[in-house]
Amino acid sequence: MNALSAQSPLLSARDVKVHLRVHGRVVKAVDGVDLDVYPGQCVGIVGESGSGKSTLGRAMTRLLPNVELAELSGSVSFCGDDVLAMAPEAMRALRRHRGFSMVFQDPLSYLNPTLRIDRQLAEALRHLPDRRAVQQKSEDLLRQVGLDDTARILRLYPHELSGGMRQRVMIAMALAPDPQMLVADEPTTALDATVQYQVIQMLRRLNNERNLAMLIITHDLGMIAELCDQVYVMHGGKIVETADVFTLFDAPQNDYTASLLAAARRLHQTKALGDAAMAVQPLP
Amino acid sequence: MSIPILSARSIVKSFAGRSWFGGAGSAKRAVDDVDLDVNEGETLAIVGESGSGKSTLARILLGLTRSTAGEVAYYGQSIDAFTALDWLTFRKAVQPIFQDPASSLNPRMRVHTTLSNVLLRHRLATRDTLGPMITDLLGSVGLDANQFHDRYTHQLSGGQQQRIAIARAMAVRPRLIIADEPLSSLDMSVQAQILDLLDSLKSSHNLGLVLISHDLNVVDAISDRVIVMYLGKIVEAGPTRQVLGNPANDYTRSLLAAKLVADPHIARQRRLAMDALIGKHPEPTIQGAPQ
Repeated sequence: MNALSAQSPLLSARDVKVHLRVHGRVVKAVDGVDLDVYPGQCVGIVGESGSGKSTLGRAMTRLLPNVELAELSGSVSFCGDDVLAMAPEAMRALRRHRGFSMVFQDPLSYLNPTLRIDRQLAEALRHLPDRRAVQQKSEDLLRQVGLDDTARILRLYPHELSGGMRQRVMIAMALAPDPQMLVADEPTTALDATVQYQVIQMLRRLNNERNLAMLIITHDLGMIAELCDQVYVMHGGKIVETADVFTLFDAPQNDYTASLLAAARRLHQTKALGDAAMAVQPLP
Repeated sequence: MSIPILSARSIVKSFAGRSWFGGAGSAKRAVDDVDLDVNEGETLAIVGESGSGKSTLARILLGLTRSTAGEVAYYGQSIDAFTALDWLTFRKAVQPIFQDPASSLNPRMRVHTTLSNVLLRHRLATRDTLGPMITDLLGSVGLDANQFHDRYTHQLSGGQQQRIAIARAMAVRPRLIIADEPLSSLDMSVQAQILDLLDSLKSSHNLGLVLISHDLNVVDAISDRVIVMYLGKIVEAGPTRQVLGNPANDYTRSLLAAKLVADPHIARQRRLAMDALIGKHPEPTIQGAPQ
């Protein structure tokens, strides 16, 4: 971790406020948040529904609809550029090349049901010179997310894929612009346990092998424990605690963090399971 | 040993496969030769991932879907031989709780209407006793009657909605509750509360409880016996401690391995052992079982 703090952060948010107008009232969804993501680091934002974690993620990636905003202030800098003040054209350039990509919870609502996977991937690869290059890069991307049967999958429609395959395709599309950072909002919540585990491990590999920085937004402390280096706990629009993952779980300083951990442990570490999970035999 | 509340023998449910132009395709077995018993005061968990047939099985147990083959019996009497009166008793005695409380409650009804409809329909209350009964019911699920009596569904949080759904199920004094993923739409801290509520209601009323879940943490915390399903078949069954503590089946072991632990030390130690185990049971697609 010490090596990280010597570098300058990839993404740096200071005093970010997002106040929404809901039925004439102002809701302080995000109320003064500071957050840093260093190159190659995996950062988690954890909170319950209504904590403002998704709104924060969308604000930092400029995906908030303007209409309902009462206030959007603070600064979010990515590689030194202020994202919140960026012109739309510059923003598009940042998303297209070496910037950041987003992955959401429900892949089915982000994939076009009428297009085969190859067409959808090609849309994210428009910067490539010809069809051969697109084909090659598509297959390469699918292999990176663990889909090895590339020729078949490229010819399928989204409804023909399982939930786990759809989320992998979404992540492949997110990797197309060769981003430096991936922002994932509940990327595995809609998936089955075994599939969830595989997607998490795939994210872990991307993080290690490509040195891809990640910002994981989730309610699941198990996922945080599995994947993240640094954790921000969010409650009522504010960051109530931040620490590296081991410190946070071993010695939470904040009462709310402690209560979240207690609830998770009530469900995560009970009777037989604690031992069984540890006692899983490695297969030859 | 007493007669089980509900028992199922050799249950099969197949859905006709479709091919283009309406020709007959191959049939798909959503539930394939399932046996189970639920006794009074017992929690039986049915575990499986999507496509395992666990929700189809729940609908068959509730008498909402007819099985293709096999028999469901309520206290030894087959539901195929039920008269209209038997069905009335059965509908009272076996109550469902669903995953999404918001869609199982009528948005146009206030809380007291939701509950009084059930009580009046089954003639469990008169106009005079209705008020106190609703107050008691709300109290039993941990809600203050004065505060919640007149609320609409949208004025309740997810956890409160699920409590109302539980109160509605408890209103008719059931023998058995079949809960299909009752926690998965709720926040973690609320999950723990609802879990405690279900467990205490079960103990105090000597209910049978069938808990359908994909979440092994929940199953481990509450159930006495567990059935593990994969692609419509039971792959392992037995006491919870034995199945989850010392699983005999590969699929059960991979489910256990995939369980996330809220402890970064354990999570990182386990990684190597897990990687080898997971991935041997592919996820089914809409098209059917994986090849």
